[in-house]
Amino acid sequence: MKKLLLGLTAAVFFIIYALSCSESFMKFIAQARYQSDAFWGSDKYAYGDLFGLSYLPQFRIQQPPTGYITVDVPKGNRDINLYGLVDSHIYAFVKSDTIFYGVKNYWYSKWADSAVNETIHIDTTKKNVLFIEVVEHNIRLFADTNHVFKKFKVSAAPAPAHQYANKAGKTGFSGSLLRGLRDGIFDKAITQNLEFNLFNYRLFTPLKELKANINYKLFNRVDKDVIVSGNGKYLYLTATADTNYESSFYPIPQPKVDKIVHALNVVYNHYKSIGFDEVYFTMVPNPVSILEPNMGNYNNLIPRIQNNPALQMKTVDLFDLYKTTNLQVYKNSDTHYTNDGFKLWVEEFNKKLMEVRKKD
Amino acid sequence: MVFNSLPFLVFFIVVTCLYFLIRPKSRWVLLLVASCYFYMAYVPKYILILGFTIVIDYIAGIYIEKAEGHRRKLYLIISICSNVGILAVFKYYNFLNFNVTELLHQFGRHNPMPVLKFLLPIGLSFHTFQAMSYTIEVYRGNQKAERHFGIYALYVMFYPQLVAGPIERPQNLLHQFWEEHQFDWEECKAGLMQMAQGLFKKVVIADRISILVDHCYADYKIQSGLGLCIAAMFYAFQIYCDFSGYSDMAIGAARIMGFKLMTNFTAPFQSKNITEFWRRWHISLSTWFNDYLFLPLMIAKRDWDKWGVVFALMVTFLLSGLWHGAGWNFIIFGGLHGLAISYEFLSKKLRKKTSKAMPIALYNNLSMVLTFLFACFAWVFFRSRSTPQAFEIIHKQFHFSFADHLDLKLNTAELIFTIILIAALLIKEKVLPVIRTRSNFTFFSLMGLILFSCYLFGVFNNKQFIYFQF
Repeated sequence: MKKLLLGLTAAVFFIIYALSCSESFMKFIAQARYQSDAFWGSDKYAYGDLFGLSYLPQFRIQQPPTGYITVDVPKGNRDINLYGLVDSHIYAFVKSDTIFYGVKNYWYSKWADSAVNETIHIDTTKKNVLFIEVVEHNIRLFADTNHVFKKFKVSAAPAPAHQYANKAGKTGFSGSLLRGLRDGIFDKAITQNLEFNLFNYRLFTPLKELKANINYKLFNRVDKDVIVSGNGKYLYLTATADTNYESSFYPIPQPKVDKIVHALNVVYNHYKSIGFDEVYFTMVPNPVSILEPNMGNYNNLIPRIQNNPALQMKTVDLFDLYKTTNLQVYKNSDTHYTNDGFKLWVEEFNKKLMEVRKKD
Repeated sequence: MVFNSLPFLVFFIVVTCLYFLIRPKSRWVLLLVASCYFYMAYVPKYILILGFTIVIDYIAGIYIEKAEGHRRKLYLIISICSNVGILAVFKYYNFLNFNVTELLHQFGRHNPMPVLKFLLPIGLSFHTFQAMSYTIEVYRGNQKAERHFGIYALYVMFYPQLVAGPIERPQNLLHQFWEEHQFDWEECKAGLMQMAQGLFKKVVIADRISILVDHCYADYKIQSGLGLCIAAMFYAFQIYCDFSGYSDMAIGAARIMGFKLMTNFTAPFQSKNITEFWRRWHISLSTWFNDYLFLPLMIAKRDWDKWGVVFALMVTFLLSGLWHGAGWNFIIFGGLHGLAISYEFLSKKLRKKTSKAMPIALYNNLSMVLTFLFACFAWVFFRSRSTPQAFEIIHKQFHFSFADHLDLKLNTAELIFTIILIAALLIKEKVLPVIRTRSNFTFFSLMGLILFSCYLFGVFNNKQFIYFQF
């Protein structure tokens, strides 16, 4: 009996450990558990990604499904091939390419993918538009333009038929077999995977909230990755609101801004020379930049880039839109914008697409 | 794989269950494989360095035992040189190189030695010392050379004490790998209880204090003298809870499988002088230095009378400081302790007279406070990133005022909570050094309470144990 118990325990925990090292299993189980309402489901993203970090009960706000918006798209020919290099602000929100004006085919590549092996073949006889979207605190992705080119490799040759249909680029396995084996056995994500498989269940949420409440109310401390806004209504990602180099309050000297502008121009000219009719760039402002710029000294990164006279890249300006709108454009407990915030971007972007059409 | 992490929790459960499931004769294989995995979870390739020293010392042990006369010494020297050599390359080369560069710079010369860029293999100082104690004991005839390569490798690599001790002696540990350990529920309970207490010390006390200490030391230039004094005192408890917490978990984990590792701490803050402090603090290291360095040196210099003892003390503590880290601040840390113990040795009679001149309780308490303050002072060098930083901090501390502004990162409630935790720990160590849990009900209730407190009040910031860097 004792041996059976020991054997069973060892087997169960060994299986949990082994499965937690498997990237494909984790993807599968995460998807299943995020969507499940049962006790074994996970609350990590149900109430916003920042709630999933902080577990402050006052931020347990049910999130509406992302991206379900109605946009008045003027009718007309759909002949634009639209390409995007985007993060979750776009790929998690775009449910259908019909929200874009004049777009026939839509294809996107994620910044977050570790490797994108596929080269995009664009048909230069057609109308091709590229848009690049990046969140304000990730603007450093442009520090190395080669990194951008690697993420989005393009060739001016006719596209294979299967390339489009609102789909993401395929990611491939990178690195040697040995490295793959090492990463499999000594998985760097093992701690978070085990946390997910052992403790990230809906039934533990009240306990997590209790801990978070004690820390917040008694010790005035929240999770290190989260900051509570001055009015207590929003959560901000710490990296965007503290003093580190990703923050809205990190002082950026003008030569650095000029360097970013130069990099954007290099990217712009690169893709234009390959055959894109136009290249657009959007910076999604950090919530703190819009909602609480006085929390520190806002470095005005977005306006300084967008208003830089040397900038050649066409921009879709969200900063001024968000500054002036009365709508709630950011979620209270999430790093992303609301559906209203997304809709403002889509409408603004559609205006740009109309300009492309007008050039004909 | 740190002890306060989920991968370790699962690893530990699987290894311990399997340990009691398989035949006793095959257990060494399981423990060796598990230890390799445990070590490789940090930087896999460094297992090769460990493997190299294991092979050298294994062969050296056998040859030392077989050889006669000066050859025995030769094999011992080869073994010690290879261990110290690896330590020198990985831990001290860049320090030496930096100092040579600075020295040559004074004479307008260039240092041709390249800077080596690599991470220090985790726990290198610990397992190197443990390996050296084996060949020295074989040389002295206190330990038979181990013929079973796997068992010897396990002696160096046994995962509970591989990366931060306790630094074991072969006489205590080697024979235990040959014994058949039966599952003993009482030992299991005691081991689990010790592990839980260690976890509590680490995540509830040490990592909470680290918020304050890290903040003060990071911004020491803008911190007030009072703030830095408070940080220095809190650091004493941080390093104690961090390291003794680790030791508790190591000893507890081994105990569950039936192994008895040596005690590493016995309430060091109850020490009435620095000599006593080192009998209670990091015992496995201080006894190592005592057995293999201080005593031989003292005997060699016995002609120098009491100055021979002082010489041996100073050399031992300077090297002990260097053992902790490759930097002048660590050497000064060791030197300060050496000076203090030398002073205590030389002023024995004077102090005895003083003790008789005042009430014993007052003398003892005063001694305890002074010892604590001295330890805090020396730890400023230990905690600082460099010697100039340490001096700057000390300068500020000596100019403190009770009116100084405090920015400690912990709010008043958390500061009070931390002080209560420390006080509770000190009282518990004095009144109830070992929690006995004969009844299962008491055991499960207490375990539940400790683990629940760890979860509720623990600070989980993935902080490594301080001594892992050595």
